[in-house]
Amino acid sequence: MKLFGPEEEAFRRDVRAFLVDWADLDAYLCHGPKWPRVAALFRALGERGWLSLAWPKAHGGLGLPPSYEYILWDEVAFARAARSPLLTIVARTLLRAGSDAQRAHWLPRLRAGEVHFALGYSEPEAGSDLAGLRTRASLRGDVYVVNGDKCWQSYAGHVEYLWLLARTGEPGGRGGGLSLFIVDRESPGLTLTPLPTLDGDALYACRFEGVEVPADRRVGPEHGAWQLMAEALADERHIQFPAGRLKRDLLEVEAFLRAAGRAGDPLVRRGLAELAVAVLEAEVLALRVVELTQAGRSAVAEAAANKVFHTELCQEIAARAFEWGGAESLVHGARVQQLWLQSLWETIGGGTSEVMRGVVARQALGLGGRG
Amino acid sequence: MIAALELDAERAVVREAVAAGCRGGWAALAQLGVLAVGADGESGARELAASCEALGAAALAGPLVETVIALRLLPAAEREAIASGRAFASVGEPPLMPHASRESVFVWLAEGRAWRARAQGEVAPVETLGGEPWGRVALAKGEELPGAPAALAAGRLASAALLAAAGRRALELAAAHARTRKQFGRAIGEFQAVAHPLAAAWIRISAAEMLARAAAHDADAGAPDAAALAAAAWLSARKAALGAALRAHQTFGAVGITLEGPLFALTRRIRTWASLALDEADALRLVAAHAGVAP
Repeated sequence: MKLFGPEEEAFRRDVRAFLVDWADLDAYLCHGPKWPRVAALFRALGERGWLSLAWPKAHGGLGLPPSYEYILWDEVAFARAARSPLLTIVARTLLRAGSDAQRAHWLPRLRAGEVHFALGYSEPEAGSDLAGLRTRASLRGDVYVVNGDKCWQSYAGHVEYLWLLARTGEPGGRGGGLSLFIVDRESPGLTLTPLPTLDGDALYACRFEGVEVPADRRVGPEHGAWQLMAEALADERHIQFPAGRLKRDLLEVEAFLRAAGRAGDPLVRRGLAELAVAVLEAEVLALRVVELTQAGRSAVAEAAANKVFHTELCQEIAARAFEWGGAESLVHGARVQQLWLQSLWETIGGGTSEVMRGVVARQALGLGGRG
Repeated sequence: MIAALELDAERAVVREAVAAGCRGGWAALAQLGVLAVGADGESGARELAASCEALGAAALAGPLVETVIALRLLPAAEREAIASGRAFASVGEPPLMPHASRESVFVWLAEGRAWRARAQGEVAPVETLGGEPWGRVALAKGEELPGAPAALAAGRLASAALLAAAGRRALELAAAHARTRKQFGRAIGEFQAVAHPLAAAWIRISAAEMLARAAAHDADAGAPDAAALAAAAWLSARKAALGAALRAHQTFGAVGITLEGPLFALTRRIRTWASLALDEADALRLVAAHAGVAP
C-alpha cells in the first residue's frame, strides 16, 4: 500500500535500518523477561528523538505528523521488537495539562526513554467500568494519601512510576470524581504482587496502604482525569494497533506450516490467502485512523473498529495455525502456541471487544444505548 | 500521509450526475462516461471507485462491472456502442451470460484470459434474482483480447466499490430502523443483541471500502501492488456486503422480507454483484503472493 509520501517512506527505511540491531530482541509478544533490553531499545529510540516524533518542537519534539509515529511503531511491531511504551500517554497528558514545572521535570526524561510508566487504572471491581473504581487519594496538607487495591497492571514490576487513576471525589460528582497522579513505584506502603500470565509475562496487583504522593504529582485539575484520559487516548489511538504485528504473525504461521509439511494443502493455502485479505483489511482500518488523526478529525469509531478487528484477527491467525498445524502446535516452544496464548489478552486489555463494539454501535450507527 | 482513503469530494461530484443518469436509464448513465474512466490507460481509478460507490448506494441495475471490464478489453471500434449505452456488454463464461441478447457484445472471460465471442444461434432469455435480462447462449471464441489482468483488476475494483457502498447503505437503513422500531418498550437498537452485530458488520464494510479506495489510489499511482489490492478489496467487499445484507434483513424483521419492503432492492443487487465470476482463485493467489505466503 503506497499511501505515504517519499519523506515518510525514507523515514520507514531509516527505522528498518535501525531495527536491524534489534532483530533478536523478540519482545513484542512478551516484554517482561526481556525488560532490560526493551528499556535499552527505548533509550536508543529516545536518543534519535523518535519517542517524541510528533511532539511540538517547543517541547523538544520533532514536530512531525502522526504518520511518522505510525510508521515507527508499525516497523517496530513487524520486527517484533517491542510495543509502543505507555510513557507516550503520560507525555501527551503532560503536554496538554501539565504545569510548567511538571513539563520541565518530566518531558526531557520521557522523550529520552529514561523513565517508564505502568497504567494504574483497573481494580478488582473496576475493569471496563472505571467509573466504579474505589482507590482513594485524600489530600492532607501537601500530600495525597492513597489507599486501595489496583489489579492487572502491565509492566508494573519493571517501571519506575505508576500513572495512577484514583478517586478524589464522589462517583456522581464533577468529572466522575477521579484524578491522575504520578506515583513512585518504590513508595513506602505500595506493594506489588506478580500475577503470572498465560504468555510467560505477568500482570501485577498493586496494593496502596497509606502511600504518600506529593500534591505536585497530581497531573491536571482535581477531578479532571476523565477528560484527560479521553484526550490522551485520542492522541495515541493511531499507534496502538499497527498492522506490522499481523503481517509478521501471518509470515510466522506460514513458516510453521511449511516446517510441519502442511503449507501445500489446498485448504491451508486458501486459508492463508483469506487471512492475507484480512490483514490488508486491518491495515486500511489502521491507516484510516492515522489519516483522520492527521486531519484533526475524530476517529473514535474508527479506532474502536481497528482495535476490535486487529485483536480478533491476531486470535484468528493463531487459531487457524493450530487447526492446520495439528499436534505440532501443542509442543511447548512452538511459536504459534505463543501467538495463541498472547492473543487471548489482546481482546481484553485496552478495552474489551464488547466495549469496542459498543463504541462503534453508538458513534457510527447511533445504536446501543450504553455499554 | 496522502489522504487516499477519503473519497467524499469525488463522490459529491459524481453523485448528482449518477442520480441524473439513474433517472435517465442505462443509456443516460453510460453516456456519463463514469464507467469508461481509465479505459484508455490513463489514471482514473479513484474516480471509478467514487462513481461505483455512488452507483452501489443507489443499487442501480445494469451491466456496470461488465461494462468496466469490456471497455478495457475491446478494440476502440467496438467500445463506442457500449460507451454510448446502445449495446450491453455481456462478460462471463457461457452458456449463462449476463445482460445477454442478440445485440450484446460478448466477451468470454475465463481463467484470467479474455476472448471476443459471438453468439451461435438464439439467446434464450433467463430471469434472474437481480431482475436483469440474462440469457443462455452458445458462444464461439473469436480473437483473444489483450489486457485481461488489468481489465479484471478494474472489474474487481468496481465490484468492490459497488458492494461496499451497497452494504453500507443496507446498514444505514437497518440502523435507522433499529433506532425507531420499538419492542419491549424501547428502540430495538438499544439491545446489544441487535446493535453489536450491526457494529461488527459496519467494521467489515469500512475495511472493504477503505481497501477499495487504497486499491484505487495505488492503481492511479502505478504502484506494483495495485492488482493485488484490487483483488483483496473484491474478496473483502463480497464477504462484507453479504454479511451486511444478512444483518440488515435480520434487523428489519418481517418488513425486510416483503417484496416491496425497503431492503430487497439493495440486497438482490448485493447478491448479484457478489456472484459475478471474477476469478476467485486468481484473486486469492495474487493476495497470497503479495503477503509473502504463496507456496
